[in-house]
Amino acid sequence: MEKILNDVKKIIATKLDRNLSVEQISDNASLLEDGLCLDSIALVNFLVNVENHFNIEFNDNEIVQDLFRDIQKLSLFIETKLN
Amino acid sequence: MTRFFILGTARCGSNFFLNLLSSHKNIFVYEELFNLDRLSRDLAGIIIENPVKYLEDKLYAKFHEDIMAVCFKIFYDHFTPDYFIKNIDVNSSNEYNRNRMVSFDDFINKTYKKEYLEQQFNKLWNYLGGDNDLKIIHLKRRNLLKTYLSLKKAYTTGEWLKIKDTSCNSNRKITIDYPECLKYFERIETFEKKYDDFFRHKNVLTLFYEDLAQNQELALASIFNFLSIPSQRLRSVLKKQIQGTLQENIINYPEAKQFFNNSKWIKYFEE
Repeated sequence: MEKILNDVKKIIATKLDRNLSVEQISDNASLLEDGLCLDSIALVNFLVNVENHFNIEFNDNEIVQDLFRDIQKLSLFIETKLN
Repeated sequence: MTRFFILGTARCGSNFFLNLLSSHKNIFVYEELFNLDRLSRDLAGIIIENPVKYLEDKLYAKFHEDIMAVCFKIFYDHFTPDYFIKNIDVNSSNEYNRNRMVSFDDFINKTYKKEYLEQQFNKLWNYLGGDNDLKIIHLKRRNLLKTYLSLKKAYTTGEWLKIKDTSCNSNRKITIDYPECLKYFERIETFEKKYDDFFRHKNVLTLFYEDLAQNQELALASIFNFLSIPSQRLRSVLKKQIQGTLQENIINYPEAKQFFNNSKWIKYFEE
């Protein structure tokens, strides 16, 4: 789980225009308006990078706003997809 | 490092294309940098004051060591006076879009003089067309009726993206406003010619959305080559928003087709 969370942070740090290092991103950072404020285009770009990196695919019904409100929860979700 | 931008118009497939590029390990994709009414007033002001510095700060930022190419997209009307002349009647758009556009236009009119704005707009476009290493991918769509249809639907429903197969209002049929549609065709074709001419001395790759959609592998191979980046399998989470034929999506399709009969645009009605 720790590794997944770190990889999610790395995606944010390297592929999103937020000027943040991995260390600056908190474990429960939100990607939405109450946090990193990703617009819809940035959010789909983040999503495709997550799918690519972990080699997973989100189902239609799994893409809900709550998933992006806390990257720790998102990481847990990714973990369940990987198992 | 390869620096490039994608030039096009709204609904030409740029979000899909950017989403594909974003999945490339070695490409950094910016969000829309010059779509001013989508930005905060403060940021829009900073960009207007010094557009070239803003862009260079972005393009020459410190990226992760894996990044070999960085890009942004800009539409024909972004950062030009044309930005304030909409392709679609504002009154036909949903309330959120309408309020956003009207309030941004008010802000601009109250804050800046027309001459100053034009001068600042020119600074950016002269930079883009100037002597630098910026490459350009000019993204076009062969069928402008499909672009118009997609734009009209996005304006009225407020839905600009379709992620996976999640439900949305895109099945809603629309009625074509002939004069508006005609004006749209003329406007986009004029833009395409204008920018082809403006960037004729630059390193430009023209990409048609239809080619990308039909044979992604082949289209991407030429893009990787153009950008000098390694070939990779790319994916997008975005799906085509409009399903079905033109006839299935346009309420007054037979009448519209008749209206454009004997014009050069009749080709857009043939699928």
